[in-house]
Amino acid sequence: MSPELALVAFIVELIAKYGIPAAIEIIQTWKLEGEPTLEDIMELKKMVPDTDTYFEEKIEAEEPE
Amino acid sequence: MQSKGKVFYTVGILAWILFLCLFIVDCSTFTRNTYGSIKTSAVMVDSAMKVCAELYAEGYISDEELEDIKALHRSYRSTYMIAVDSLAAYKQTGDKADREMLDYAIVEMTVLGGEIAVLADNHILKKSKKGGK
Repeated sequence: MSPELALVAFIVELIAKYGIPAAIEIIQTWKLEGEPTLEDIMELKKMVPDTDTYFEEKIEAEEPE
Repeated sequence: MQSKGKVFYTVGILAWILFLCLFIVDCSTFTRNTYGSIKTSAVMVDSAMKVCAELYAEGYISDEELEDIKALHRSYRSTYMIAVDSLAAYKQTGDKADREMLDYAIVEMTVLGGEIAVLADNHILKKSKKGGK
């Protein structure tokens, strides 16, 4: 398989597995130009929220008013 | 056996992504590529956790299973934070110890992230077998 075809197959797999928004974000990561600053690196911490956050949102959404 | 194969498949995909980020894309520096790998891992785990949250809300994940997922995510999160801190430290100092800690954290993070992705996949499969859309 040619590298171009492998890349296309890989991107299709990303979309199938993680959805279009996540795949776009992953691909954008590859396009990063220049060195990440210390600030960029520390920003990464915000990308993985506390575990309960994922489930609290759902519980709040389901609670009747 | 099938589940084991699925674990290898998902971890394989993650390893492939990390490989792409670390070695293939342009002639990037180690810091830049590691930054990309960490960010990619975060996006994937975030997607997997959102799927798990949806499946839990729909009743496809039991409370017991949820606790396993949460425990796995907590381990992932702490390793992820170590990876980010180690990358920041390595960028500032270029110290070998920081690099070693970073390498260790990246491997651990990849394995744990892979396990979370597999759990999410398994629950999606379970839902589709039950006839959920």
